[in-house]
Amino acid sequence: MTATDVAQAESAAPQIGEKSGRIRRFTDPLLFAAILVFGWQVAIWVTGFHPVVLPPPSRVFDILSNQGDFLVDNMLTTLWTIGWGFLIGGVFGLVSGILINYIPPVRRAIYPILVALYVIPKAVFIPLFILWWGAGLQYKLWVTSLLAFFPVTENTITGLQGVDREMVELTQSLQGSQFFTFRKISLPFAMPFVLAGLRIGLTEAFIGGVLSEIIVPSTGIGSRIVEAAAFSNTEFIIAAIMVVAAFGVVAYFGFLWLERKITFWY
Amino acid sequence: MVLKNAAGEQLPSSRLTNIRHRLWNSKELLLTLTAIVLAWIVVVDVRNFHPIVLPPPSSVADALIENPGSYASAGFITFYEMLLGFAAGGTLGFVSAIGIFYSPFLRRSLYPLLLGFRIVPKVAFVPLFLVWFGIGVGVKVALAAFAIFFLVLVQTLLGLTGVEPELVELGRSLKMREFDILRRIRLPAALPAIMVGVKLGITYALTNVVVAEMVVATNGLGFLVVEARSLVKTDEMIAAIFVVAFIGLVIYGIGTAIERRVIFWYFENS
Repeated sequence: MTATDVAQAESAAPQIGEKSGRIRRFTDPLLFAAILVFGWQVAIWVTGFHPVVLPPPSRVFDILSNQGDFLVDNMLTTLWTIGWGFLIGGVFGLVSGILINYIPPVRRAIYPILVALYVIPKAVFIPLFILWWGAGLQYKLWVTSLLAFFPVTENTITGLQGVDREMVELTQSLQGSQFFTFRKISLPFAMPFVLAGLRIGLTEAFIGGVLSEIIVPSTGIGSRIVEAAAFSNTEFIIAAIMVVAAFGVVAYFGFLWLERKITFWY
Repeated sequence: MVLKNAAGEQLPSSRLTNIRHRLWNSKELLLTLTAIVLAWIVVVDVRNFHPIVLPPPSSVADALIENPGSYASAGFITFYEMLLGFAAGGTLGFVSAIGIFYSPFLRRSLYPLLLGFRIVPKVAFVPLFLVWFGIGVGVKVALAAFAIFFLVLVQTLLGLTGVEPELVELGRSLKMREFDILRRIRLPAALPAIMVGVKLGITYALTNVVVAEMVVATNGLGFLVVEARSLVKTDEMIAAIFVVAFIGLVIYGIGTAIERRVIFWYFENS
């Protein structure tokens, strides 16, 4: 139930700008970003913040142009973890969601535990994982895939629970096999929920990838942020956040686009 | 109250059968939970794990019983900061949502940015918040508020834009002022969506406070977990994890109860 709430929270949103023209949909956010950067600069002129507290935009852009490659390289390392974690968590989530839904005793036994695990802050398990798997890639993949796993499972179950009973019965009365019914009726019906779950899973995987690096810095963009924090290199931190944001936004809207393509009927 | 007196004799027994029914209905769940604990005991015993790797359940329980005060006080700090972060982020998100709703430019420009921004892990901002708000309460509340701000804002906007146009038309035809339309029509109709934001918001708040405590703080439950790890006291670490999980479940229950109370009509209709 929780994941469905999140799915609603995350999915319906982009319809808001639909009445505006295609061009303004792209120019207005850019215009706003420009205003934001200008306001940032003005704020520094007016208040005279020390660059450690708030560096001027020019310094951040300097970092982005001079050390952009370095930042992107680190982001790609993190993205590798995020991608694999998302894939593992997504596949396991999908499979276990289907299994849990179609085996009633298992559903009654495990579903409440899944909901409970979904609700509690899973970040507290990180130290335990470090203890068991060391601070390397294995641990990062565990964190990332575990975070991605829950929304996918939860949404798969919710989607399959909502399938129209009568349609299933109709197919079965026409001698449709169990697998046929699943493939032609249940799966298409549950698809929007599954995809929304995967999209939340992607968001969670981003959190997992960066969080696991911040807690044990070694490789990746999260580690670079922690390093920069140790040197009070605020402009570098802001630049790194911008790189993470850019990759995240592209991944998010890319997935949203894919989602619309797959469930075009929804 | 009169009714309760009249049914005074009936009530306890019916409540008892109710509980018995509930237990019977969740027999698989109870069996699984028992099996997990048993498996834990057996695995530790058979594989002969060192207590650092995986202590037996009994020593985790011991850690909880020996020192309940430290868990309670850490839990209180975390809970208090969670509430502060939730109040700050929720209020800001709610007010900004109304502002964005009434400005077509902001709706077109800021809203897509905010939407995309939700995928950015908020943990990355911890070093910045540390500089701006200081170690201790500041950074934790800031992180929690920051995360909830986006959630409540998007949920409120979602609710406000989903209001049926007929209702607003009705208000207009009755010559209501826009403020009254907002207060009496738009916001009540948007409440179900807002309540989802509130319910999830407290959960997000807890997660983010705990994460901030793990990364930088000097007290609270997240700190307790990290400290126990650096002291290699795995039993205390798992005990702290259980306390976090418990608080998480309790506040989710509270959130659901608030939701059911505030928008009872929504659940009655569906």
